[in-house]
Amino acid sequence: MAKRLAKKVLLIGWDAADWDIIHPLLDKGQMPALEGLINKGVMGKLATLDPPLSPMLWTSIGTGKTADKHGILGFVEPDPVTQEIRPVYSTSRKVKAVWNILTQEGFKTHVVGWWPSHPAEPINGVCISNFYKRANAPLGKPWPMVAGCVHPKELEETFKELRIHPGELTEAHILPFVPHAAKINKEGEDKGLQTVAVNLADCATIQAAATWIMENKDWDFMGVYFDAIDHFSHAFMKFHPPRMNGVPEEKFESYKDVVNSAYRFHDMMLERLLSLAGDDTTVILLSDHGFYSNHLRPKVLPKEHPAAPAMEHSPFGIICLKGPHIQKDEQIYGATVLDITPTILTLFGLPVGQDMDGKVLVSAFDEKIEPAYIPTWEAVAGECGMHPAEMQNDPWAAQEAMKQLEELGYIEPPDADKKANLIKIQNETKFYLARVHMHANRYSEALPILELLFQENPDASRYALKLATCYQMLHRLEKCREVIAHVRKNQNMGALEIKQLPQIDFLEGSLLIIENKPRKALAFLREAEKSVPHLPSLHIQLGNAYLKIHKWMDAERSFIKALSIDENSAVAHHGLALSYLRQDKYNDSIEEALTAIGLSYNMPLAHYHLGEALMKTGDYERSAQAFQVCTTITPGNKRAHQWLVKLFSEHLNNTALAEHHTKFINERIKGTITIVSGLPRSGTSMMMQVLRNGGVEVLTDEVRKEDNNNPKGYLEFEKVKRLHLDRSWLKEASDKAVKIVAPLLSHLPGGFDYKIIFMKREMEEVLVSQQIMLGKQKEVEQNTYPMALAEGFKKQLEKAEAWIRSQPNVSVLYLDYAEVMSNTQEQMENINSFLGDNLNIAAMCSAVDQGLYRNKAVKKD
Amino acid sequence: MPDKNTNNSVPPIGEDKNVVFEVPASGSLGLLALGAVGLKAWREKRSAQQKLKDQTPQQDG
Repeated sequence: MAKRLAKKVLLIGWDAADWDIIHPLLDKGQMPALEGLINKGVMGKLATLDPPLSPMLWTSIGTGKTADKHGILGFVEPDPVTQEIRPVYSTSRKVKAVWNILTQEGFKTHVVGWWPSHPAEPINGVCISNFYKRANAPLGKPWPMVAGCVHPKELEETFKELRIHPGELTEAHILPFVPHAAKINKEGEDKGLQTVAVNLADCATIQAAATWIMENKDWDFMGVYFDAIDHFSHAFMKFHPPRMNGVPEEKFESYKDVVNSAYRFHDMMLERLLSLAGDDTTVILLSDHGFYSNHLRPKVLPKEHPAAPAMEHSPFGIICLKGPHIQKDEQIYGATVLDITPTILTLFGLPVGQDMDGKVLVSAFDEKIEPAYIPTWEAVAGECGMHPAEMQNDPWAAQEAMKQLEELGYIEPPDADKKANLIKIQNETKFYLARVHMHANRYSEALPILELLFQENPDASRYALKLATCYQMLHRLEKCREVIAHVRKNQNMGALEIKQLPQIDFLEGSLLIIENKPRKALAFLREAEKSVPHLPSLHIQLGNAYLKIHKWMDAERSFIKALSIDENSAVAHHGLALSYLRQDKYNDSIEEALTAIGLSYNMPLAHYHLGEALMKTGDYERSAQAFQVCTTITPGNKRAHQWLVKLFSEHLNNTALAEHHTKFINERIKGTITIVSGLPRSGTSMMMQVLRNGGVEVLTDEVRKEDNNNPKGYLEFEKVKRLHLDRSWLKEASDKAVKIVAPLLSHLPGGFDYKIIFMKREMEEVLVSQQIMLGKQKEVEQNTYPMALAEGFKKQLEKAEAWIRSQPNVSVLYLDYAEVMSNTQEQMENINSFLGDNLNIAAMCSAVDQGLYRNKAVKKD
Repeated sequence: MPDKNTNNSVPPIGEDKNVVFEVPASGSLGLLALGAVGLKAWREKRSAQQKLKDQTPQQDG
């Protein structure tokens, strides 16, 4: 067993708490308990997951696993028996939570209000479920407690009495939130005061239950979850200063203090919890996501959109830790909601499951921590306080079973409304699962889910947008384009769907950037900007497009605009750093790169550009450190190793390290091979000439001489033809360009990085050109179209493109032959950008001879 | 938001043993924040006051 680092752990959840609200309150001394916690420990931002839905996130916090593993995929689920829709249950969680692991290991463990935790689990301590707090009857009427809220059962009466009914609250409770409450007509449509009372009663109930346990029971672990900040924010953030356009003055005056007051009340509750916990307890305070409180607050939420309120959630929550072995008054970076359970296990000296998706927050500790690991906690036998197997179920599997019984005639089918509702919720659940996969970069797992959703719901552009994004990330660009075209043509979209059209322009712009067509991309992105000017990612993509065409100042402006919308965008700070770097503004570049890294450490290129900027200022020591971090994250970054060789040999007088990196380059990095590919007669020879003119060394043996079909030469290499038998010559191609026809691509071995320029040409033109080359002039004149051959080539192209998509070491630039002919300058710039911006564009253009475009297909409408 | 009340009757918070809480019958945010003990004290006070009110003879008008 590893060293135990905490005597006791108090985990406090404040749903949706956000530093943007907290910092001004701290500055005014209005959250003293939190200030004390921060001063005695570490603080930072906690990255959320997508979709930012609280039951999913709090279960990820409690398990260290993503939702595809833990099984809580939304707010609701079908009751396995009645098929009625109900809030999601703890019985649907498929894996052990931290309180189960701690129970299993003999720790005294209590959990209050976690979402979802109903029915309460039989852990080694008290468990109060999330169904406990809500008043379901008017004051004065019987208010029975929902069965299963409290474990152990014998404490039910105690906890029943600790519930606070909103009707019990008085002016003394409400006025601090709404000082002018007297002016509000309580019988009118404005239900704001009731909302304040309900939320306040709910969180005070949780506080009463938690404090009772801490006062009356022994404990090693105590988890308390408050949802009130989220609920107060959803109801009242629109009234938070500064006043948003469209918010009536009267309402603003009534409710402008509610959000701040909610935070201050939580600080008062925190003070009590900290006091009961004592100084020797490790305290973790966190939120699952943030909440937009500035100009990013959505003005209207689409009513027809399930889970629309999640649009108000921002991507960073808060985290604070204090206690023995924790650093004091420090910031931590890079924490995510998945890291909490691994960190708690480490605090208790327990191993972390290797099947957990989070990491231990080692930077929070004041000593070097080496966490222990086991393959999984799921296989560790013993009583862990989960519900017995017969109670656990997958509600959607149960729903399928019910459906089958219904089809067999054993049970009555649900009525049409109920059925439609079930299908709608099932679709949303699948959609969330796809998003979970996408957030974890598992696009190929998200794809079949989205394809099916799109097939069954072709008018729902939300599904289409995610599907197109998925195709884009998998480099299935043709399919991405098909989906975009479908959305553009679709006439059946509702108001919500039409609102998402700018997203399609944005997506198409992003697609064109991937395709190295930045100028075309700019046209779409600017169109999207007209409708969604406040979308930060749009300005980031505009900046990226400008970077690709070396318009550094325009790029700078775009990234600054992105940051004016969202100052916490690490990608925008990095883009701005690069824009400054290319304008020789090195100090500004360093500052922005450091900010980007501070926000998101795992950005190898931000470290790389930081290294470049530091080197320019003569700060060689720090420059080397930055490049070293870059090579730690991405060991295959050859340029970073090359800079390190230069720094260590020329400036830092460290020949050993210079040799280490030289050796690494020689032994581990085989280099990049530029490949020109496509079908024969699709412009591959011309492209080889373009590259040679541009300054790329080409691998050719000149065995095949120029002829009438290719008067400028083929620039081929004979050994390529035997690639499937002999690949030993490939090292000769390192850092050079070589022509390899499409059907041979799949024989390329791993170990090299390949940059493929893939020529595409109308199939008819290719075939005509090939027939002429083969002397079949007669067939061409008779207009005989070799259908079978065309099909065969088409299949070969599909196969080659599928291979390209599946290779992690391959990047590709698809070029249309006709477009190269008609729009030469732009295409040459795209090639230059794809190959690293070092080529002679004018010389490249001179290799394109319009006179050799001899077999043009007649375009059909 | 008012500060927590600081007179009599509920167990003290934290290390400052001199801090005590007044328990007004109308309750306070401070008492709610105290949790179980604050809630109990408030309800007892409210109940006692109600009892007193019920016992006070009503004058006929």
